[in-house]
Amino acid sequence: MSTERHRPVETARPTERPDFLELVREREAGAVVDERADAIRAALSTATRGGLDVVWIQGQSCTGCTVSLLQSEYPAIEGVLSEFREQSSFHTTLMSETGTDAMNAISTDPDVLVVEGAIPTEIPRAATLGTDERGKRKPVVDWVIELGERADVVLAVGTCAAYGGLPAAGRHDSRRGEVGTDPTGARGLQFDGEEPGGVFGPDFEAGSGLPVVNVPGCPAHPEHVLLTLATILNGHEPDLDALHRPLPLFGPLVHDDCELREQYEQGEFADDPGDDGCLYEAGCAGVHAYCDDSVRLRNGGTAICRDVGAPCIGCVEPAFWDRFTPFYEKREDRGDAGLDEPSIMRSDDDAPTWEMRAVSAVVACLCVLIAAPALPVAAALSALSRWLGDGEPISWRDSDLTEA
Amino acid sequence: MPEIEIDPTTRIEGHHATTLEVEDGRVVRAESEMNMFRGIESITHGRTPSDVPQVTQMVCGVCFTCHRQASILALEDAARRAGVFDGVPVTGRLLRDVMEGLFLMWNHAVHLFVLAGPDYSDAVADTGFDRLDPVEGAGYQTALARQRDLLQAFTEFGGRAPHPLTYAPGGVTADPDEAALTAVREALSGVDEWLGPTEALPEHLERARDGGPVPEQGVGTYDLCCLLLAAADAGADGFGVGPGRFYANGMFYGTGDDSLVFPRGIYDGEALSRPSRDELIEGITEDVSHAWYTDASGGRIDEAPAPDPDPEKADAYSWGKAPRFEGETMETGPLARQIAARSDPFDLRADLGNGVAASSTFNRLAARVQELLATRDHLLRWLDAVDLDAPTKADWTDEFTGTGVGFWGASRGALSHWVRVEDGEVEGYQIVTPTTWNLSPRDADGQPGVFEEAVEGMSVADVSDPVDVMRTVRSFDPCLGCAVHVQSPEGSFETRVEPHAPGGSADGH
Repeated sequence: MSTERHRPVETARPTERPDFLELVREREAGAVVDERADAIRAALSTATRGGLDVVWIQGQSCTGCTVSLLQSEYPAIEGVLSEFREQSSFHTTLMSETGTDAMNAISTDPDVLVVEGAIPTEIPRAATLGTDERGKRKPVVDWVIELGERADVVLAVGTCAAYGGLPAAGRHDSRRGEVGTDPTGARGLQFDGEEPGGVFGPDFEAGSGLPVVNVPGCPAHPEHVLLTLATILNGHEPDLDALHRPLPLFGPLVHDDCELREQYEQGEFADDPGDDGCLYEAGCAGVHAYCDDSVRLRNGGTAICRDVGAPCIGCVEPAFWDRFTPFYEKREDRGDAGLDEPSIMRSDDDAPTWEMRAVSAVVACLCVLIAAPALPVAAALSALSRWLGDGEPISWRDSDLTEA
Repeated sequence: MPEIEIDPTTRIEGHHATTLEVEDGRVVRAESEMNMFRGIESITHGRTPSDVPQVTQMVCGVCFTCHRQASILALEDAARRAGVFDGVPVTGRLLRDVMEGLFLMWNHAVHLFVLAGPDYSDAVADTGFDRLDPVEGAGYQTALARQRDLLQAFTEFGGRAPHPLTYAPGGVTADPDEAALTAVREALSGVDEWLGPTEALPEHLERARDGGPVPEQGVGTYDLCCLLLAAADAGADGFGVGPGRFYANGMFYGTGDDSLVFPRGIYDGEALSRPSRDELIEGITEDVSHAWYTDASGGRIDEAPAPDPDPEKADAYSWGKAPRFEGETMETGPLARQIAARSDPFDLRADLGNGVAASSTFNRLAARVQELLATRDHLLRWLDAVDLDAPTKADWTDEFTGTGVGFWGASRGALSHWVRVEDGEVEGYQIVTPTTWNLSPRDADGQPGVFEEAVEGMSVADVSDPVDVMRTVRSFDPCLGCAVHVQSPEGSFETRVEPHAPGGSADGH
């Protein structure tokens, strides 16, 4: 990092900058991006003004996640988002430089590493970027390990980077009931499908102490990417679930807030995709898929898959290509029929978000009751905030930023 | 001998690299390398047929409709031949056409205004044409807003973009109501106004020649005319010349019978022919002599196994195979479709380019402009023809045995998916993408790929700034996600963008 890139950032202390993911818990999906556009812009500016160094690289990806991000409908953020993408220097799609310049622009010591696409580990040549010092094609797996071990935060955008996704899907021999290995040994950054591991291994922690933060989806929802990124840039540690997804975004179950939920309650089921009724019997994976897109919708709040008769395929879940297929088969005939279906109750009763908050509230009350009157109020608030997942600020190596 | 390597070839996105050898100011050899492999064909094996369009759609996040469409066409072809499928209802077919048309317009708009256009802008090339200056240019910014409108219109029927789930074997799962149709029309009305009436193009061209002023209506078409004039001034009609052979699969069924609105055709440099399905199946092969696959992975598409990687293979330099028709390279894309349709609206290629059926960087740009406007005009008619009360999907069964091919057009050219189903399971699958047609490596005879040929022999005045090479590779709109990766809907550029210069403009980008 050159000092030039790390000049002081004229923003508030990290703890005073908004934690957008926490705000999501309080507001309707979509509202935070609308209402806090200025603050999100300011968060992205910490990267574009050289305060924080973000590198975005692509492994085995279809680039759908990038295309998805670019479809975001946020006029207030557009300028800085453009600049941000430019400066996340490894993102070859979006660079204006070519060739040597582009390669020179790659930071080898980023604060935040963003990865899109799976990482081929058995055939490293199956994804390369640029050349190494000997002039040989350099595998993306080498780039990712080198950069990831130096980064403060590593963010996996999309199901491929998070869990392996499509390149990690198996070759099937269903007559023998087997799923074979994928063609290139594709892995997620810290998961191999549902299993912890992946490229970095289960115990990996980036410089900040966080594991790889996963924002899955096929493609990732642009608002999920934006909110997580802006929260991290503001120095907050997101509250993650067991699959390392930010809980406020990936706590709700697709099924709970589905527009077709009423048909489900009434027992009105479609036989096939496109028919009237709840798509549960037509293979919908919404009962196993955790994300808020039933209310957040896509493309500027326009629609979501079920609106056009298409069952959820569980695209935010690890190994969905093998766990929830055949996608349109009657559930009793499919492997996932035996899985727990956590949401036959109403959504408010069981969504982890609400559960977490209930626990937090109880703990907070106990704290207040037990605490001596002399206990500083700030400490209680801090404990409460920790329980609410507000998290410690990320201690960027760049002291200019944290102390500004 | 100076050797320039352009990697990554930015603004076309992804893991593509071009290596040029330059001697005495000329490119003597070009190698087009694709640097990613996933093995999606193998991943389809053993799966239920109706899951496969879902899998193959994810080949590419930019061509996110075309692969689903071609995959479904292949399955429907196989099922029809097996006698278990009668065809897609007219409304289902029309809705797919509408979505494919919206997608095509989106892709062309992004390509022309955001990706290729800036190569001819004032900020990049001192052309005096500043409306497509990256980020700051008024024309560039308007295009960004309009491309979002196009995908929002798409989402009304598609559910989301990219990667919509609505196309299904037998039709579409969407069953739109009047409100959805109205929303699509509203989203399109801004785009329609932006482009203005197609027949006004000659006036815009005249106005662009006179240096403005910018018109009130049809400002998008005016910008495109400025772009074409800047490209002609830059001599783009004289470089980037491919083999002069063209191949188009055709696309869109429209409101008529089974004939395609943009017809299928092969132009061999002298005559245009209309190959049948079987003639295409017979004629198309893939050569793997310079690709990292086992030799057995090449040959006839319907007979070859799924691509089997051989990453240490000597003489190989790409993950892209080399598709050939009757042993020869074929250029594909909007220019090929225009030539197959014997179409040259407003004589753009005859008057400003190097001839109606000629290959050049300029002609590829001009054909995209022509196709963008033509598609808009068709699309508005198709929308009017949608019957909201009619069925959108026919019954479908996965239980059959048979083979099929889906021939379709992606925005960047001819796309085909090939499927073999046995007892309700996919046993064989092949994908031949437009980007491998255009950006393939050499074949066993040493015949360079279309792009390699188009670049070899080009003069490079400044080895640190091969701007015309960049213009040429972008003119193919390579979608390396198809083969490896994709171009992006918005570029992200410096306010002050230097000519694309490896080794030059090292000014702290």
